Amino acid sequence: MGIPTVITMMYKQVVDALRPPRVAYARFPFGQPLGEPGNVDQQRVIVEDSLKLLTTASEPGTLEALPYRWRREDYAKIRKERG
Amino acid sequence: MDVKDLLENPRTAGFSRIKYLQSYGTEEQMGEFLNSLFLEAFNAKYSGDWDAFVSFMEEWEDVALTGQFKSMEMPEGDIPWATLSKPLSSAKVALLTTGGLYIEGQEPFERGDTSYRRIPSDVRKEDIRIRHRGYDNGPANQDINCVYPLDRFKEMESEGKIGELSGTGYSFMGMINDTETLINDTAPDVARALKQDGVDAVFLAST
Repeated sequence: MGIPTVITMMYKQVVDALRPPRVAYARFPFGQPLGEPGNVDQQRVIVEDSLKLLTTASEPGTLEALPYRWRREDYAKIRKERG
Repeated sequence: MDVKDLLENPRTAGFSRIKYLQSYGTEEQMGEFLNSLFLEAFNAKYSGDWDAFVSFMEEWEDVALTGQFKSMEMPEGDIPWATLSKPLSSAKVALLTTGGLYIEGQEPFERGDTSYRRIPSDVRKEDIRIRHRGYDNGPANQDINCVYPLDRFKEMESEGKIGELSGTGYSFMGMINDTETLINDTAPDVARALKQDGVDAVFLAST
């Protein structure tokens, strides 16, 4: 039995061709897959959304496009609303 | 002036995608992009519809990346699949990255390096180094959590959202052309190590 894996990827063209088992895709700048330096809320939102795929993805090759628009989101509010 | 020179830009985050148009786009595409850029910018200025401008930029980012991607080789066959055998709140999770991270005292990565480095989870963050030419290392040097969310996982561990952060993470280089060694040697080695570590799930940050 293998080990369940989730990847945060920012390169959709590679996701489509590589077909990893579970991918959380965000159109973030290369080098910052989890978010900006010091932005704890942003980083947590991305980590939590990605980890969620470990339990929600039901078939190999699941790609979840995360809706976040880099700086144009209120990540603190998103986290607060989740409780 | 060469149209290519017009796309010369600093290695800042904002340019991380569109810069590939300079390397992989045709001169015709570069010209079309720059020409439309003026038009789209003024449309946005007068209409106030900046979402349309964002879509325009993203379309061209995709053109640029599709060009770069064409030079890569991809594996064939079935998609690997394993499912989590327990709730996340009791699972041992390991952190992996392709960000080219290593620790002070370890051998730095070379270009195309297929080896890997062990990153103990109790590492002092100031001892983590990066050697990777494929992305702007600036943000990650400022806060390693951008590419290796060690602090975020420690928080989630103490909040009980994950069972445990594994004591060892693994770091790889990116932009590796020798995928054969990666698939046949490196990945199985690390998979065995993760099994030995008793890991239930893996989170991999690709840079």
